[in-house]
Amino acid sequence: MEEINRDAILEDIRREIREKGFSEETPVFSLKKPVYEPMSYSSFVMDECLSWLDDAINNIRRPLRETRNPLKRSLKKVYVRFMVKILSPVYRHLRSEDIRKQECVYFSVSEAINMISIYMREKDKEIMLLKKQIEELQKEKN
Amino acid sequence: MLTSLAYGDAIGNETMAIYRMLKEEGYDTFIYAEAIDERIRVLGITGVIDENLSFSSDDIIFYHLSTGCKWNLGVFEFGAKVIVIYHNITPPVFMGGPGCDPWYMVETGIRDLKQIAPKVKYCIAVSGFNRDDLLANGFGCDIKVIPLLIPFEDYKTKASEKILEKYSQIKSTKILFTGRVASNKKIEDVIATFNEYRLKFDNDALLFLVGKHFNDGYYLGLKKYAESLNSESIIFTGHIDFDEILAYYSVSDCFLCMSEHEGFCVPLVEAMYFDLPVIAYDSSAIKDTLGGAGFLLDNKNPLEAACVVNRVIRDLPLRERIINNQRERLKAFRYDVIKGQILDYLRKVIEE
Repeated sequence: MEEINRDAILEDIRREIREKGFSEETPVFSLKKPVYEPMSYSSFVMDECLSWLDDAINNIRRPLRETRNPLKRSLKKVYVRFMVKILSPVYRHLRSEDIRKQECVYFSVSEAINMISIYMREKDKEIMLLKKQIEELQKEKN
Repeated sequence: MLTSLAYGDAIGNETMAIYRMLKEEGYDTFIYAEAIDERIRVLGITGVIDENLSFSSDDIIFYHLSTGCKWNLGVFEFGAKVIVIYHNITPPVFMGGPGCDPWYMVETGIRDLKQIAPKVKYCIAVSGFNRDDLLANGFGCDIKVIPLLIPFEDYKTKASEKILEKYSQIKSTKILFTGRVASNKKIEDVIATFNEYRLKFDNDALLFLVGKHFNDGYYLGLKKYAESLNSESIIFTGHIDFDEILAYYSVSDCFLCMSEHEGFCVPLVEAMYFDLPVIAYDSSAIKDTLGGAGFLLDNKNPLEAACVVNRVIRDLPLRERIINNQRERLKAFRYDVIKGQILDYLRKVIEE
């Protein structure tokens, strides 16, 4: 490797700063809120999160139960399986004994919810396409 | 085997790279994790770790250790030979305080290190810094230092035309940092250095902060900080596709890293691959990974760091020397070199 005299360069830079009268103009970063908020794993918080996930999954499944149109049902089946695939890993983790006992943590509750919203955003285009197809089928029926 | 197989992070990428390499060499191999990203799960090459898994004494587990997890201890109960690959555990000081989940995870991980120290017979550390950390935690076995296996062929993928068109014609300086928005990466120091650079040397300069973020206190704090400066020139890309990451490397003029904790820091190697002069604060494994290349800073003074950035960009002979040194350093990370080191180590473990 070619030698680079780092100390000499830094010395030269410090001289340049003095000669040009440079001074720092950037305010110091100050974090008003903590990096991570302490989480309380009360059973209430856990149950609330689990029931939120239960609702999300049931809402997806409900239209499937309500329609008799075979094409709509198969399209919605795909949609349901797709959504369940996204939610299941997070659901499984929140259900795990260790999380409930707070002995070992793999996802925080807030991180789990963040993960869901990130997955949803990433799959957004595909979800929108499926929704459009379902809406078109509804229009055809009407 | 690992705690969380995420898509696109250093440990996830190394796990996939080792998997593919072993498959090519004819080994029967599989990946087990507690949490598996859906994009990897659908490939059908992974399974979830649980107590019902069964291994024989002829099996070998590469166990990636980077955080607290019950399998840090549990992996030794499976009856297989275990090669611990140590990626380092982020110090608790960067993870909030007692009561925060991330703090608890890393505290548990550090406790686990001390507990498993007497059990570990085979161990790879991805940097000398990591090896020293293991020694400090009581590891008495022979620790082999083998850098991460990086499939450089992937970097020949076509870069995003959209990003290239947007930025390649812009003449002003473009500074890059890639990495998750996490407090150990000290992105506020990158922003402060950039701001000094913009005010003193190039008013139209841009800062690309490429990496995933969550809406936690740190990210929101950084956004507010950027807004209080000239936020239009500070771009948080969030999680983007690989071809877009490649494009940001292609259009940038230098790579700036002010991280205070890294177990290896793949972005340094990526920057070197793209001939971006690296300016980095000398902490943790940064010096190991750069191996004499790049330009190390010994303090965090943003004005001084900004002047270094300016010098590295404008002083063409210096820039060329840095890039030449980086190209020399890159040879140590060649895929065939690291692959050879891993396979040699694996054969040694098989024979014992």
